[in-house]
Amino acid sequence: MSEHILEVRDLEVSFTAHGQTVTPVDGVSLSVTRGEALGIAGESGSGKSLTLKSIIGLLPPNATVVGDLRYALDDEEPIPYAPADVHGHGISIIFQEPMTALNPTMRVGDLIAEGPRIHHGLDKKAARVKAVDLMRQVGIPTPERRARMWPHQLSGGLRQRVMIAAALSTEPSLLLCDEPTTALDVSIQDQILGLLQELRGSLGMSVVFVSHDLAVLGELCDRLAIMYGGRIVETGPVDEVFADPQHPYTEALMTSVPSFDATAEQLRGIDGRPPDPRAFPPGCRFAPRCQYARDECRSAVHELRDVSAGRTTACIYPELIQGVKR
Amino acid sequence: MGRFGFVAKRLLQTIPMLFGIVLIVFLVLQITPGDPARQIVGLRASEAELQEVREELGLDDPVLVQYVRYVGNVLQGDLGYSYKSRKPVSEIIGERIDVTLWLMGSGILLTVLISVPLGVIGALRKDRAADHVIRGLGLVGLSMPPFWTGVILLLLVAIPTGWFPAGGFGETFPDKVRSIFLPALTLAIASSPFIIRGLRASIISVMESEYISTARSIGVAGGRLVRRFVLRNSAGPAITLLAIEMGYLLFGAVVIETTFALPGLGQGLVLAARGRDLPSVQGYTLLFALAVVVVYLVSDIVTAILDPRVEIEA
Repeated sequence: MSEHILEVRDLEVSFTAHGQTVTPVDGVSLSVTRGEALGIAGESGSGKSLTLKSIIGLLPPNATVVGDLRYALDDEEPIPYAPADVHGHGISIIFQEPMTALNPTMRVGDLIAEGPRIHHGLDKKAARVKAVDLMRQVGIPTPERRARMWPHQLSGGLRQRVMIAAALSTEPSLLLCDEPTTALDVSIQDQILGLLQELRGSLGMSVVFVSHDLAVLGELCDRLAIMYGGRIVETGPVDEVFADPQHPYTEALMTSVPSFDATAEQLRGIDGRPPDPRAFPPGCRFAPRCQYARDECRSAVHELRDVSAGRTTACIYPELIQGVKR
Repeated sequence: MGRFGFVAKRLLQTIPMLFGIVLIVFLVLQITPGDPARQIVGLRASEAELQEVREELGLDDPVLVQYVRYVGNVLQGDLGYSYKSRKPVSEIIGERIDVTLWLMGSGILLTVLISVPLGVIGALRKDRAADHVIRGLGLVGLSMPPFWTGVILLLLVAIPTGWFPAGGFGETFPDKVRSIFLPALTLAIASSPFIIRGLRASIISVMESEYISTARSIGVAGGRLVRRFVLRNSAGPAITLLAIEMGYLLFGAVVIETTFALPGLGQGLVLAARGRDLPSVQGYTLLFALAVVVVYLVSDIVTAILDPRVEIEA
């Protein structure tokens, strides 16, 4: 039995419009082990969401995907798959905005019942019972009554719970989360994170969680991959990455997160703007915004190198990083 | 406010609209040149006869009084008497309405049967061969005026095969179906291209929404995806289009009924207008306007039933 449930090698996602090709995901490789929660962090436009959607094949039809994607179902070795193979079989996804992710003209109970009806061949009645069970499992109060409601009649938090129940209805072994807490109130965010943490434990699912919010990732994930300009620039266990970032971009991300004991000086934004996928800078793509950048950085070949056990970085001068002063 | 609240509100809104329609129809008759009394008694009648008819019809009363009387009569179903046959207009309409209801009903049915599959295929096979073929056919359908389509169907289908009568309306149910099929098809050929185009656009935009991604991710695909996730969400705009199209085609019925010699309201309107039978023209006009209001009302209500969110937007 392989340890990995998902392996992604050299993933490229590109779009061609008006004769110009842009490649917002440019050579991403990652793997997820069984039961692990991998966090992917990065700014908007870093390619993290596209990476997630290519794993489950939900990119817009004009996207071109190149790369080797392997997925292990039932304790087997990871094998290449077509995205349609994993729809409802093994991989599920939850989205950022639960209002637009739920069919507005379908009662939420019926939506959750779709998975059991299609994949377990349950009849309408049995699937409805199953849907109510799932709704109870994700902490929706009075599920029998709420199963009859339309999405617009539910609060944001309940909608996201419905989305989670629908994702769980196919009994996935890998759950993809595309910023599922970003659109919610802070107190609801915590509840949803707690729920995901709990479900992950009880169901033994692997999770890939995409967010720009390091605090959220820190709470839920075992391992982090930091993305910048369509590439992964650093990976490692969450605690180690937080304690000792090995890429200047990670460090910059961390100093831009406000905390109660940080002074105004310690809280900094990142100078400059995220790179434009139509014109990525040569060499290290973070170099133009990097306080440590040297001439070699602007011609460096992108490559993830091992720093220590389980840790990699794309930075060629990680020793220059001073660390986060807190 | 629930969805029934929306329907009730929409019904109430049509009441002032109906009064407006009656007012316009009434005024059109008032400003039409010519003396109705003279029309009735003929050119050779004496002034005394003329005056008698005027008094009988209340034509000397102030306009406002005439209007109130007209509204009162209309509310009681009294649309006046035909100048020609002297029969009540409501009776004349009653004899003809059956045919036109059949024509419109089966026309709508055929339009839906043609448009829904073609709209779905066009959207799902966007920019591929099937889509181009459907769009080409739509262009052909759009370019053919109904009277021409009707004649072509008569010449190429009705007469060679003998399956359908070349004109008139049957007495028994199977005969009615046979005699209404080609006229309804003519109507559907005229209206389907709009509906196919609208439905295609609306399905394409629905297919891009995130809840379709959700559905796909849990394994909903193919016909089930279309039936349970796409159609209901894209039906709204297409139904509104269909209602607008039906409004136009009601007047298109005038042409189609003439082509197929169907004794319906359209044909009746043509005869009444040709004979300067103003009360009949007035009655037909009122009824057609009313029908348009009803079609729009029904389309709004159906849309509201299909979209559970309407209650919060109303």
